[in-house]
Amino acid sequence: MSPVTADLAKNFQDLAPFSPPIRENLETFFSQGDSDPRSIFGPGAENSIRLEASLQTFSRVLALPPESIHFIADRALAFTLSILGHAKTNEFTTIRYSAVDKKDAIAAIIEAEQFGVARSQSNVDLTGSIRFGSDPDLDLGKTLTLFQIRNGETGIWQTSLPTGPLILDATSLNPRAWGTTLARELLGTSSFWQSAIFDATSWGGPRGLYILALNERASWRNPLPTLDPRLPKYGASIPLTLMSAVKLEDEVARDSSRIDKANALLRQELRNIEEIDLAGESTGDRLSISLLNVPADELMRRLAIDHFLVDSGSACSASELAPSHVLSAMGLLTHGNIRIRLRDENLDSVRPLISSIATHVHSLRNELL
Amino acid sequence: MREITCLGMKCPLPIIELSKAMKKYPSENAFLLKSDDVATLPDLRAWSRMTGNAVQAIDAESFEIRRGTSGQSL
Repeated sequence: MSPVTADLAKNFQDLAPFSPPIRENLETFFSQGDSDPRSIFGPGAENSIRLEASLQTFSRVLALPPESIHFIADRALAFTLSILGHAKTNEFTTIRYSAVDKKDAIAAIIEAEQFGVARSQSNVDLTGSIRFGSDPDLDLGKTLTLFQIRNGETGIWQTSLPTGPLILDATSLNPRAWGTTLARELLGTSSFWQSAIFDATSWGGPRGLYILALNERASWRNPLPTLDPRLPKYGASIPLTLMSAVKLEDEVARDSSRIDKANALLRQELRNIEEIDLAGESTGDRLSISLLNVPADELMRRLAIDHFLVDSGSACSASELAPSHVLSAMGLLTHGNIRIRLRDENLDSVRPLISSIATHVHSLRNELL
Repeated sequence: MREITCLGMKCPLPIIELSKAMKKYPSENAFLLKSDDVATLPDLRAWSRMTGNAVQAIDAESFEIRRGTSGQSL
C-alpha cells in the first residue's frame, strides 16, 4: 500500500489526496498543461486536443451541450457570473433561493438587488426538503429559482423540480447517483434551466475547477467588465481541467452500491449512540451527524489520533465563528457535528470508524457531564 | 427557577452546562439559561426536540427551560 493510498483509506474528509487516476496523469498534465492551447506548434497543439476531449467528457457525462460549458477557477465567481448575469438582463423580478444555499450564492443574490431584482428565501424542513411553496404574489414566469439539487454538507438531494426558470446548483453532484437522474432529466430535456454550476471536487477531482454552463436560450449578460462578448476563461487552469475530466470518466464508470451500503451501515450503527442527530435518510457518499453534549473539535482530535480524518460544521471546530447555517436552517443540532465523506478507498475503514466514534463519544460525555 | 449563567461561553458549553444542571438537580423542573453565544438558539431548538424538554426565549440571551414538557418551541 502506498503512503497516499494509506491516507485515503482512513480519510473521510471532503477533500482528500488525489486518487490513482489523477496521480497517474499528474506529471503529464503539469509538464505540458499550461502551454497555450491556441498555439499550433509544440505541446500547445496536444493540449488543444486534450481540452477538446475533456469538453466532450463533461458534455456527455453532465448532459450539457458543449457550447454551454465554461471553465471557472473560483466557486464564488461562478455563482456571481451566473446570478448577476441573469439579473442584469431585467428578465426576472425575483430570485428564489433556500436557507441551505451556499453563502457564495446568497451573497450574489443579495448583490442582484442592485439590478432591481427582489429576493425570496424558502425554508427547509427537518428532512432537508426545500419548501419553495407557492407565494401567490410571485409571478413564476419572472421568478428565477436557485435550485440546490444536493447539499454538500448533508448529502441530501431533492427529488422534485421547482416550477419556472432556474439556476441549477450542482456543485455537490456526483455522476454515480444521488440526485443525478433528476439533474440529467432537467439538463437534457428541459428548457427551464438557465445556467448550472458544477464543482470538480464533487466527483473527486481537484479543487479549483468549476463549470458554469449557460443555456443558449437563457437570458444572460456578462456582469463583469469586458470588451469581449464571449465569456473569458476566468483563470481556469488547463491541468486542473484535464485532471477533472479524467476523474469524471473514472467516477462515472463506478458503481454506487458499495457506498450506499456503507452509508446505511453507518446510520444503523450510529443510531445506537444516544442523543444523535443524523441528517436526512439516505445521503450517498456524504453523512452529517451531530452528537449532543460533545465538543466537535475534541472529538475530531481523538478520531485523528486513531488516524481517522473527518470534517465538521460546528462553530468550535475550525476557523468559523458561526455554526453551520445548513444545520441551523434544518433544525438540527449544530454542535458536536462531524461530516463523513465516503469513497471507494475508505469503505473498508467504516466499521473501525464507527467503533472509534462510539468509544470517544462515550468517554467525552463521561468526562463532561 | 435555577439560573445557569453561561454568558461569554462558546458552543457547546452552554448546552453542556444546561445538561449538567438538569442531571445535578433532578427535582428542579424549571431552569433559566443565560447565554450570548450565537449557536445557543438553534441548538436549544434541536435540544428540545431531542430531549423532549420545553424551551422558551425570554429575550435574546435568556431562555426558560421546563423539564419534560414537550410541544413548546422557540
